Amino acid sequence: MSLRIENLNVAFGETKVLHDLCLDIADGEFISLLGASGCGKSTLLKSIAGLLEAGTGKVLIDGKEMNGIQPQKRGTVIVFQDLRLFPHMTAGKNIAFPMRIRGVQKERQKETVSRLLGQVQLTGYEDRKIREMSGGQMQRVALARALAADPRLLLLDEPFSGLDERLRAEMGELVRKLHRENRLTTVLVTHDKQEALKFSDRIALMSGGRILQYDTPRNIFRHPINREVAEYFGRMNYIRDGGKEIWVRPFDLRIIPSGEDCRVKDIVFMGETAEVTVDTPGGEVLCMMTGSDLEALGIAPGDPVGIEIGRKTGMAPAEGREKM
Amino acid sequence: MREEPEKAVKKRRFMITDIILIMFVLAIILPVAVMLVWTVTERWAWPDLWPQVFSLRALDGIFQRSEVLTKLFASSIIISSAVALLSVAIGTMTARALVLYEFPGKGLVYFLTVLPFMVPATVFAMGVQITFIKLGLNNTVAGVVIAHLICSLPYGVRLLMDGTAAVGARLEEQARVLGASAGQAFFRVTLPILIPVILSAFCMSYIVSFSQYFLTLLIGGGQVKTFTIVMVPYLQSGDRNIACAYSVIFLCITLAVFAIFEKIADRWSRNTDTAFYT
Ligand SMILES: Nc1ncnc2c1ncn2[C@@H]1O[C@H](COP(=O)(O)OP(=O)(O)OP(=O)(O)O)[C@@H](O)[C@H]1O
Ligand SMILES: [Mg+2]
Repeated sequence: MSLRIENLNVAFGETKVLHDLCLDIADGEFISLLGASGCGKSTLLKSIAGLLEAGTGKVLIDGKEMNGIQPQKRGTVIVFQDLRLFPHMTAGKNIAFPMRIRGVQKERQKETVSRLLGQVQLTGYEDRKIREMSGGQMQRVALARALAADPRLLLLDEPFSGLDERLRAEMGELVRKLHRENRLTTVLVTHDKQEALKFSDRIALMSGGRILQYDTPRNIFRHPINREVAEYFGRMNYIRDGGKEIWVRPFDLRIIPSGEDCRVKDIVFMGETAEVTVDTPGGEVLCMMTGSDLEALGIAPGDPVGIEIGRKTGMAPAEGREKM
Repeated sequence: MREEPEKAVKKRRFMITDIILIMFVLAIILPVAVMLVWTVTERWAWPDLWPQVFSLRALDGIFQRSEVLTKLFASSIIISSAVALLSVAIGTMTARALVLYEFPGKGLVYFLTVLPFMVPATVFAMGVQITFIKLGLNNTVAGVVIAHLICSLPYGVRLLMDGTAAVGARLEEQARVLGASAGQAFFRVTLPILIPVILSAFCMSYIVSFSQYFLTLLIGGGQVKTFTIVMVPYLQSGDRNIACAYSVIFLCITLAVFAIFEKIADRWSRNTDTAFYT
């Protein structure tokens, strides 16, 4: 289903948290929501789900205005940051909860619970008590419970923070698979930009209750509308070239051994990649390359070198993107 | 080597808890034991450690009046249970309002619910009596129930406020987005988790109601008889064996009532597919 947010304002008492926020999500899209802590991501999800009163503005689901529609009638399910599993129920009962509310047959409930537990790799955990589960297991139960509610829009508020690398990747894969298989419109809040770039159809970067930029991973990385966005997704060199400023990502700069006007300042070798800081007449720049490229280059701090700006790397802010 | 200090700590902790436990048991068991002995004692003068004369006079007396007493107990239990149930129901709602919602006059409501803590019981009883006479509630069971309720509500509200604050609104929010209405979210999520606190609040309110003497006398005007009303004169007149016999019965009945309510709560939890959250 599609979601459209128009000029949403949300305030807690006097403090405004969301300012004139607009967002458009097409049916079946996978959207990542990024932004610093406290910028209003959770607040946005709660407003979409109807847990918070919108001050002004609209939330439209499939074109229908949601103002005054109760949370349970919206078909939007949140997996919260703090999971919120019901402590007095077993894992299985937690997952069955949305089905019990809907009055699904007991047998069907059982089947669905065991199928979902299998999907989150917790087969046989039906009767496990919540307080006897690890953090990662609880996160997976929370995800399974959300799926049991048959959401039209799945809102994931950093559900995989704190998982170890492997499980995190697996859960990420699972969410993506579910998204692909069920065409489930999904919004994922995350602090992990790699995860966002990798998984999303589009990324919304928030700051201070506004959306700075909302675009495809490629565009938001390649054509950031301002320095804040640019630096959020990676390092950036701002090189003065005559009267104008060009933006170059460190990987788009090439060091050439035969040069006069620049000098290697520092080299940081990190295995697969390496960072080289170079003093140029226009100031310091940062170059990144693979570790093996660095070895092939054979440079040392103090060496005179030249800098070449790789092709298509000049990234002046894209015109007319400010308004999105 | 490294395990030793740990073991020592563990052992000491055991001793401390043991001592506390023993003191606790003494503080409760000893008076009860003395009371039990008193029920069959005719004379037990200082400084003897053991009664001089035993008799079954007190128990006899009580059994002879058993029909009256059964009625008395029944009315006492009904009044106190009603008070406790109302206190828990009103307390749960009040606590919810006070903890989870913002509304104008919240401070005042809170102040009013705990006011009976602060006003001396006699002053309070007078005020209630005057009001109830005007309302025509004096000398009625309903009047006594309401008066007891005013006394026991502060305990209920305080306990349930802590419970409600501990549970918070988060689980209900989660239930809502999973498809539950506001009512379902409360009854299926918060209420089962609150059961232990509700039981405490119930017992507290029950006891407060059961032990009201002055207030019951004043509002009930002698028409509404409760166990305490009948017992207190014996205590004052020095008929200690009869008073003790009454107390023992009081204790047994209270425990029985609490046990029954715990059973009911337990059964209810089980029916709603939940377990006690301890
Ligand atoms: N119930 C509330 N009452 C008052 N202020 C609140 C409330 N909830 C959130 N806020 C404030 O609103 C702002 C946005 O909070 P929100 O939880 O949406 O941030 P977030 O982007 O999800 O942060 P994080 O990444 O740390 O989870 C914060 O400044 C927070 O202090
Ligand atoms: Mg958050």
